[in-house]
Parts: sequence; structure tokens; C-alpha cells
Amino acid sequence: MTLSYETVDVFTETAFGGNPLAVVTGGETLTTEAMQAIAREFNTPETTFVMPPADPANTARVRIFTPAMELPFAGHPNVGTATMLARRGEVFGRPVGDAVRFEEKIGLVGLDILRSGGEAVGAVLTSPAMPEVKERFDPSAVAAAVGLPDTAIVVARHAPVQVAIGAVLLIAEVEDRDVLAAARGDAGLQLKHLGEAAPPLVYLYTREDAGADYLHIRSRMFAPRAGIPEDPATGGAAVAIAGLFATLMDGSLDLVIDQGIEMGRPSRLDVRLIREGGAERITVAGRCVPMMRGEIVAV
Amino acid sequence: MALTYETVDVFTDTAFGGNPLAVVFGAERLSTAQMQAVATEFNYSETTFVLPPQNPAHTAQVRIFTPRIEVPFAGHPNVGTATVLARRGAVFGAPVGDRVVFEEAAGLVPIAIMRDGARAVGATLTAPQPFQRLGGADVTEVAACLGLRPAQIVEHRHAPVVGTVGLPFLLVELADRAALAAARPVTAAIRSSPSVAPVKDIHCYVRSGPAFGGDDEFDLRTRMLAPLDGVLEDPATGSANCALAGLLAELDGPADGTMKLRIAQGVEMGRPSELLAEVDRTAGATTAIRIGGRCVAIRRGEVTARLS
Repeated sequence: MTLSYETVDVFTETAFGGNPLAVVTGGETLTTEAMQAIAREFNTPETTFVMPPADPANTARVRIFTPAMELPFAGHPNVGTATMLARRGEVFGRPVGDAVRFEEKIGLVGLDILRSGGEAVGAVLTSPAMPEVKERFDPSAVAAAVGLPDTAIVVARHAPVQVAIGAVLLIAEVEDRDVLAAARGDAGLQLKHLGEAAPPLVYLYTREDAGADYLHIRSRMFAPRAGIPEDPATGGAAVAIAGLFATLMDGSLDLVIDQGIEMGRPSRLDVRLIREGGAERITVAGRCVPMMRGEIVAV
Repeated sequence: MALTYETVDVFTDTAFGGNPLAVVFGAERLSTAQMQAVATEFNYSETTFVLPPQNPAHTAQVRIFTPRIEVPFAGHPNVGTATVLARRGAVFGAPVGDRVVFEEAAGLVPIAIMRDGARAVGATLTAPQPFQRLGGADVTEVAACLGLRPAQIVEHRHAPVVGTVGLPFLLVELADRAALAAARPVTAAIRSSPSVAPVKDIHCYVRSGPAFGGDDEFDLRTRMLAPLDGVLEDPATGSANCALAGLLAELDGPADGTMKLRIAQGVEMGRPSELLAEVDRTAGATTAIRIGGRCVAIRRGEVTARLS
């Protein structure tokens, strides 16, 4: 079987923006080590392998790798993989409709396909769990950890706080775009000011516009300790911050996130916190652009 | 015209070792900004674009981009691009023989194809400029940049020195393989070091094998650390090892003859690479520096994005 792939830019409508993803098909017989080697070779933030589902009621089994390790779950790989399969129109001999369900390490992951005039242009991911808001951090230590002056962190609404959704993130608000632009990801600074035990993923944001049930923010995600100086679009972080806002307000929220602008890969994530009938859930929607396709000849 | 590409791992004969390279064809109508965007998207240490030569006596014009900038010259992109062209057998309607000449921003780059029988397996290139020393760096600062103690840096043969055959590298001899393994790029120290910050890229090495009386299978073991250029560590760096070979030929090379060095790089980061350096010497002077290695085909495909 030929090992073929497509790459897409996720959470953007513009080529060379968003967060790149490689989607590999035909990898049924690969070992985990071979998948890891291929993901490392692609050197995209994540690479997915699409395989036949164990249960035919599901669309596919999907495994997700960074260049360094396998992940149980992540946002942009799901949005990108779902969109790419919907564009193909069928997978494993069955049509791909307006909803897909993937078997992943974390469990079943459902996505709805976004279409524009019949063409699949993106996908909406429903978070498999609600985030957990955990301990707070000292604002001046967080500021120093991202190279900002002592008073750069805004604490009027919430202190810098740790939020868990699979991965654990440290989320902090800053005053404006200039402060956000001045921040930087430096592993040494993070270790020095926050210590080994602090989350390696640091997510900063500033408010652009707000209404009663609407909020527009601009964000940056630094993970130099995890080998990612800056991430252009982080679906998991979008879920985490929506979970954080859920603890600060009543009702539902439409959250628009611009990320990756400062690093030259503008990304847009459309997040919804939906509260109805006592239940709550979070969805993350994004568009995708096809970039490359080809085959792996080395394996 | 379709934008197609091949990727290869350079300076290795094992898939997923060596230094990855993307070689792009059909880019004649791309702007420089579009080439840069494609190179950024590949996110390899380098991506090359193979364009028709200005002078038909040459094989091709080759432009080389890192994810951030265009560079005038680099080693592994030339070795990989030449091997890809030789495997194809023809380019721009002309056959590819045992020698290719690329037109690059740094000048003409002649490259010899390495064959195993009739099959092209790699290539050897001649450095475009003579080896030059450009100055030194402070040992205490260099040690801090590498997360090492000053005693782990060997100074009696040469203090840390900037050497170049086109791209400058800070060349640093380390005491042993334990020091080489322990070295790590300390970004903040590099940024704040007056003597290291201007060169940024550190090529450290250990004299480990037969050419220097050691018992290792490789004459040299090296690591190239360049965090300020967006590369924490590079698995195989042709131009850095050319500069290193140029320096070592001045220090230890024969007055007349060819110094040959078998160099291992990238081992510590899990992408083992093997580079073969040769330095021709006449009457105590260096007349040519060459670097060569093998390549493995990894993937091929096309860029489907609409480029605006």
C-alpha cells in the first residue's frame, strides 16, 4: 500500500497562515516507531495517521504525533484531518457526511464539517471534556517568565491560572497588543521565574472587543520548554480559555481568537461556550487550506 | 506550471537520519517572497528552488532558503539538490553527468556526483570561498553559551575562533565526547555575549578518531547549535564542517597532499549524519576544501496551494 499524505494549514483561509498539519493515509501496517519517525521528518507541529476504525459506526481511527511524541488528543489535528477527509468525500469505502467521529487515544472525538457551497472548508470540534481550572500564579513571576515588566499582567478579572484540558496551560491576560507583541518564549526565563513544576505551555491574551455574550481576543502561545518557541494556533488552549471564562460568567459565550499574528502565521479560532438545560460544552471551529500532497517513498 | 518537490535526507544512507532537504521544481514564476513562504511551510533547515541556468554551460540556478531567510550558500542543500538531479538523470532538457555546476548567490558551485555503480548515491562539493579566520571569542562567554565549564573547552591548539568558507561559524574544540554530549545552546547567554552574539552559530567538535590518533571510527564528532537562527541544533552542516576542515588543515594538515576527515554529526539529537571532508594542500597552503556525503529519498509531491 502506498503511504500518501496531504498537508493543510489549519485555522486559516489563507495559504501559509494558520497551523500546518500533515495527514498520512495508508499507514495501517506502520509501527508506532515508524509513525514517530515520519512525524519527526515532516517537522510540522503535528502529523496524523488515518486508519480504519475498530467500530464501523465511526469514521476512522486517528493517531496524533508531534515531532517528539504521540498525543492522546489535540485540537488542530482533528479540525485539519476532518476537513481533509470531507474534501476527499470518502474514506475506507464510505462517504464522509456532515459529521465525523474519530477513534483516538482519549476516546471518541466528534466533529461537524463546515461547508461553503458544498465544498468542505473547515470543521467544528466538540471538546471531549470540560477544562479544569487549577492553581493560580504570581502575576509578577509570570510577567518575568515571558520577558515583560513586573506589572504587565492584568489581574482585574482573573489571576494567571493553570487550566487543564489533557495538556495543562498557564493562562494570563495582558493590557494591550503592544504588551502582547513584546512578550517572548524563553525556556530559561520560564524555568527561572516559574520553576520546573509550572506548565511548559504559556498562553497570553489581550481583549480586543467585548459584548454581553461575545468576546474577541488576540493571543500568543509559547512552549519553548516543549520545543515549540511559539505555536500559531492552539485548539486545546482555545478550549481551556473558554473553560476559564465559564467560571467567570453565566450563560453562553461566543469567543473569537486571533493567534499567531506576531509570528507571521495569522490564525482564527471560533469558540463557543454553550450552556443549555444545565449542561455545558465547548466547541472550536476552524477553516483549513490545502497546501501540499504527495507520497512517502522511503518506507 | 506545477510546483513539485522531492525531499531527501542528506549526509546519511539511512531514512530519517541526516539533514532533511526539500528540493522544489517549477518555481520559475514564484516571487522571492513566495519562495520564502514555501520554505517556511516546509520548515526544514533549508529548501532549494531549481531554476533554469543563466548560462547554458551550467546545470541550474539554485536558490537556498531557510525558514527565515535566503542564504547565499550552504552545504547540505547543494549535496542534496545535486543528488536529486543526478537521480532524475536530466534537468532543463540536458543530461546530468558526473559533475554539475550550480549558479548561486555566492557564485558558481561545482559538485561531483558520487555513484554506486550507475546509481547516484550522493555528491561532493567544493567550497566557493577559501577558508578565512575572522576573529576569536572569549572562552568564558563561549562556555556559558554551551552550558559548559571553561575547562571543557580546549584552547592549546586554538582558542574559539570564527571560521568561514562563506558562512561564519564559531569553531570550538571540546575536551571529550562527554563534553560534546553535555553541550546545549543557552539562548540568553548567546544573545548577551559580546563575542558570540555577532556570529550566533556555534560548531563544536571533538578530535576522536584515527586522523588525530583516537580510536573512534570517525575522525571528528561535531554538533552545530544555532538557536538565534531558529535552529536549536542542525543534524549535518556542510559549510560548518568545511570551515572546520579548513582550520584543522592549517593546524595539522600536510604541507603537500590531501587531508581526509570522516565526520559524525547529529548523533546526540538522534539524526546521525556522516560527512566526508577533504582539504587539498600545496606548499603549506590550502588550495581546495570539499565536503561530501550520501542522500536518501524520503518523499515526493506537489504544492497544491493557490499562491497569490
